Amino acid sequence: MNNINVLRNTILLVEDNPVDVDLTLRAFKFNKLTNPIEVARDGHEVMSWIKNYKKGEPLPVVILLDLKLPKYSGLEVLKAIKSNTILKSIPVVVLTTSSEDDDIGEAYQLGVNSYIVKPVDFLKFIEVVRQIELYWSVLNKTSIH
Amino acid sequence: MLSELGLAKVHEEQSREMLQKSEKKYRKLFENINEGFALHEIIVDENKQAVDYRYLDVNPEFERMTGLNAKKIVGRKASEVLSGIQNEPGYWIKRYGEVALEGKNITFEDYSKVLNKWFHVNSFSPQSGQFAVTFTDITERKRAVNRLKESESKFRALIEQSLTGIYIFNQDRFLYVNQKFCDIFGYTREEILNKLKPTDVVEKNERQQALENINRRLIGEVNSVHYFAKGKRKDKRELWIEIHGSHIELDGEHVITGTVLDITTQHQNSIKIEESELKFRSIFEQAAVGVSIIETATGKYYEVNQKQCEIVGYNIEEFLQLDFMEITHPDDLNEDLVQMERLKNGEIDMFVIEKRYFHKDGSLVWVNLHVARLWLQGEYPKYHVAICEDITQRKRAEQAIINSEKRFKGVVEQSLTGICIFNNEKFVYTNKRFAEIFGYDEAELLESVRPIDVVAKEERLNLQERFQKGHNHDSAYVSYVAKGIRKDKSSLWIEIHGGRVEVEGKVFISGMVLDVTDKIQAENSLKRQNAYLALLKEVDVLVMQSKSLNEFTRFVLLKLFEIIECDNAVIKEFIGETSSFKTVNANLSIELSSLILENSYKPFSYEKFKKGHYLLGNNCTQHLVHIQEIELISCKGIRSTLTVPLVIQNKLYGVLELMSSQHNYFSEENISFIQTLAQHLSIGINKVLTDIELYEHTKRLEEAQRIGKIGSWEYNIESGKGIWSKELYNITGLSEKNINLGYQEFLNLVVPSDKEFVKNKILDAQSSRSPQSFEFQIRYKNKKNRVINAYVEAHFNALGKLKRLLGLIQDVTENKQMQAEIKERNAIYKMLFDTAPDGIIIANKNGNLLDSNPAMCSMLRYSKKEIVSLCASDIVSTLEYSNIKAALEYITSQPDYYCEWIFKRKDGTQFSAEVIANQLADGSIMAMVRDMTERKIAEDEIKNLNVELESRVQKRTAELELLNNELRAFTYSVSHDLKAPLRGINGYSKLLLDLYAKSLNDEAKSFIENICSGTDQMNKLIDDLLNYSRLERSEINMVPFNLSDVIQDVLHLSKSELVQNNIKVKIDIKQITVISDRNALTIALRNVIENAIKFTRSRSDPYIHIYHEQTNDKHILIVKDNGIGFDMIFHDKIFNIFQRLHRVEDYEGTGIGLAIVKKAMTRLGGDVWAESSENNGAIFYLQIPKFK
Repeated sequence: MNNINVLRNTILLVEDNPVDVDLTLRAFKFNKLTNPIEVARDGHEVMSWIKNYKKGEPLPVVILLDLKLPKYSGLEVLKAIKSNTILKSIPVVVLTTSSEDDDIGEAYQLGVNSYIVKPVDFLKFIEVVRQIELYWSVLNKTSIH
Repeated sequence: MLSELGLAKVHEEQSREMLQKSEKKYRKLFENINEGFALHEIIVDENKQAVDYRYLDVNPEFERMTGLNAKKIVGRKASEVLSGIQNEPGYWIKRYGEVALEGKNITFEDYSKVLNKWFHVNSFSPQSGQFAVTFTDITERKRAVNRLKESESKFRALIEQSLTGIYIFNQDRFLYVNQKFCDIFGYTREEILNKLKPTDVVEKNERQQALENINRRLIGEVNSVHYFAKGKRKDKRELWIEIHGSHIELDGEHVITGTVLDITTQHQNSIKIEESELKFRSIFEQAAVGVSIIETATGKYYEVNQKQCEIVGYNIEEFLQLDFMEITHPDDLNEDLVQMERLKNGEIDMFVIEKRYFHKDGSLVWVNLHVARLWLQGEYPKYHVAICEDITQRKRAEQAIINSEKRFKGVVEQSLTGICIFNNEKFVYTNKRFAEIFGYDEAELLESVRPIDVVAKEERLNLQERFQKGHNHDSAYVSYVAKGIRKDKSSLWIEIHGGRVEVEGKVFISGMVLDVTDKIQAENSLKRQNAYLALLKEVDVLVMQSKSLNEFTRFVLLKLFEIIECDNAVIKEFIGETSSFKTVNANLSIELSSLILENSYKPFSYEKFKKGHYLLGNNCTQHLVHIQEIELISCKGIRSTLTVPLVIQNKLYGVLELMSSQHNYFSEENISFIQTLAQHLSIGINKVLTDIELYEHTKRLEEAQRIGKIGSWEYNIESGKGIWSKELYNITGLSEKNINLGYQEFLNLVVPSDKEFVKNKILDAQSSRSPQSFEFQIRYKNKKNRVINAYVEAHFNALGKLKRLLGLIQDVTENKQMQAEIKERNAIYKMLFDTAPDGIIIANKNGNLLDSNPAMCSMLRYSKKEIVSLCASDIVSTLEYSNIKAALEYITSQPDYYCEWIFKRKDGTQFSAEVIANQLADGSIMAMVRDMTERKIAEDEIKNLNVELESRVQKRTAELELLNNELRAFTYSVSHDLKAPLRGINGYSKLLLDLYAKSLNDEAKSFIENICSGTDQMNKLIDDLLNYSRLERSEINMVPFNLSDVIQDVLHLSKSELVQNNIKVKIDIKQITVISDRNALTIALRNVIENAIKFTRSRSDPYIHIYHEQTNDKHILIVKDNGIGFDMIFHDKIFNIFQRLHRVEDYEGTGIGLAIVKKAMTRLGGDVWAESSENNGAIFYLQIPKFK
């Protein structure tokens, strides 16, 4: 079973907290981001998608990954993505509340492309999302719009 | 001029005559039809214009006249015969055309350039188209007339333009005058020719004379006259005229012709000349030079001036009787006469000679004579003038110079001084002596010897430099002594005095050379002798000054080297036992100094050395018999050696050996000096050695006294003087300088209480005649009294009278003190020994027990008496026997021997005990014994307790770890799970404000804003809590870093706030490296700075000062602000978590900041504290420990 539906130019958001999901989507909207956004609500969903992924299927352009997830933690998911020969090329941005040095260090060790601490302030959050977008566009050198 | 005119007249007449004759001749020729005749036919062109003609016939005369041959020209065209006729100016063809074609008859005279002849031509036309021409050659006539014309016009012009007035007159009137004549007298020519009589132009008074003159000529009495007269002009002005006149017959009439010159100006000039002559005469009379006018033919004086008289001493009358030959010195006369002859002959206008006159008094007078003629060129030589100047003084001076030169030359030639003149390349003059000095002959020197050849090589450059300097005027005169070289290459010493001379514009050096070889040698010898003497003296002085043999010999060798330039000098000591030599001191080459030529000495035998014989090897190897030594010496470049023995009190002390790289270096003089030196050296060495011995002896005595603190003294009864040894001063603490040492002075040192006692003892020594020993105290400066042990001895003379007192004084204060201390210490030791809880036992090296303390006795259960009869093996278990032996050995070499032994009690029971053993000063061994029975039990207990404790700690640690993990999970969860809803609250609030702003009223908006700020505050609180907990959890990582870097990092984070609030920050921190946890320190500092910003920003002039202090073991980072401060009663509270002193609305914050600081500082082993008072700012101290 694969609950995750990845299309061309899909951004995959891995986030369990519905409030955070909603706010993130809104923040994307604020930044006029039109890419399809697929949300995974726990680590398990992502792990399944990874497990069932077949070569040739579309890949998400970027994965935004929370760390504190039910079932499988974000770091476990990250490890799985970066261990897969095909999927490891997908840019992964950790988007989490944790600013623990341990988390940051481990994420980078596992090959995360960027690590961003989610701010409480919504306006700052929008700014962060804009930075992700910028980061991503620079990474791909193509427009997200 | 008049004659020229006459001549012209004659010519004219002749010409006219010729012309007439010629005319007659031509007429006759004409009449005889002897003129040239030619008939021609004209040739015309198409325009009927004559262009040429053809000869038809010519007569012989024509042929003659023209030189043309009839046969050749008849039938031919003129243009062919007379080429160029077309170009003739007259253009005869055209004329002949007119004659032939128009019948005209023409006659003309013309010149043919072609024929170079003048022709009178008559042409007529005998028939149409023909013309006949008769030619008459008139060339000769033409030329004569032309000549006459030319001549006349020439003369006329000449006369007219003459500057001389020219006249021709007869008895009554002027026939001709020229323009000048008119000008002279101011008349026009018409006036003169028509109105004047010849005499009218002379002054009335002169007219008679003039008339006579005229008549004399007219009657032929005289042919010509020449006279001066006064003339008269038309304007009545008078003028002087000079008249030349002569008589000629002109056209049969007797006329007078002549010239008149206006000489008025000349006449006036001659008046001036007369005046001038007067002037000249006065000059002549008073001239400063002698002037005489002499009759040239006779040489007689015609006129002389006063000066001339003075020069020769005659008066004018006498003078005029003389001729110049009489008073001229015969030697000078000849030249004078020769010159006079040339003057007379006109070869020269004047001459100058120097000659001698005889003075009237017979003396000779030298004069410089200028002689000049007084006649004109071509005139008869009547007078000449002689101007003479007395140059006797000058001449004398010159003569003096000449004489001097002669003398000089003589001196130079015969001088004992060598004299030369030379330039850079060669000699240009040398005298005989110069040549002799250098062993050349003079000619040889000038031809083939260069100046540099006669000086030694080392002088050549010098000589050239000097020459160059002389040449360039750098130095005018030099004088120096140099080494010269003779022809035979032998050298000599020369003294050169050189100077620069210029001869005919060239620069030379003149030199005087003296052979000073003998002098220099003598001087050098004297110098050497003086130096030798000085050295010997110095050696004697050095002996007194030198403190060691090394110093003395080194000095001597140094001094010797200054005088004798040898290559090495060695002083060697003869070691009698081994019959070898040992180097005492050497100069320069150490290598050479080690050359011991003893093998070569041997044949010479030391006995000879002892007798003072020296060993000389002037050609080095001669005296050296040992082949290896010869090679050794040669390869070092040594060519001469001199070995002189040093003999002290008939014993061979050693040798002084000199070496030189030159053959035959040591002259007799050298040797004799070195022998003398060796004697002095020997004496010196002896003295130094003796002195050293004596000195050392004295030193030893002093040293002994110093060590023993024994001073000695001597008191001479007769002189009343005392002598104190050095140590005595030390003992008494008195200075050697300022004490008059007497008996009384000594007594004064004795403490009052002992004074009488000391006196008595000294008296006892005298009266009993036996030495006395006693002890007393003296005052020692201002310190504690010293205890003195004294020994006094009285000495008497033969008569039994007391002569002197001798004494020894020993400072026994320390001894006394020590004795007292030892006593005291012994008592203490005794007590320790007796009361010590540990057993103490003393044994000798062999293990026999000597003593034991009560504790030991009770431990072993022996009495003390019993123990001293035992040996070590008696009190230990049999297991320890071998150990005892080892221990005894160990102890003798090292302290603190430690072991645990099993001891055996008197009752045979055993116990184990610790033993620490040491060797005592007297060689015996002391062992301290501690019964370990009880300690063993305690140790076991401790061991058990430790094990238990360990397990407890482990359990506790595990618990703590668990707790820690829980706490970690807790805080982790807090941070995430508290923040997520907070983000929701904030996010939706912001969305509300953004999306539904229109639907919300202001109050609703402010509610939402409050919600937002609530979330902010809570977010901060969570962050701070996280930080706080993280500090607790995280590991401390000590690294060295620069303190300033941390400060800069922190300030950078707060930069915008600092700028915003206009807070000045001053940092006084140098480059300081600390070792600490950088992260923790950064967090701590950041919170302190944020605190400072927070509480200063309300101030008017906020500032933060960050500085640093340090002690040995800690750094203190200090942050001082001028904020609102706080009351110190809250000091401890502010570092507690959640503790706030202000309301949130006044000063935001979580109350965790300073708690974090405290936590961080504690974690890194430091501390934090603050100083403040309300409204007076705060100072926070962050103490960081130093790690080494």
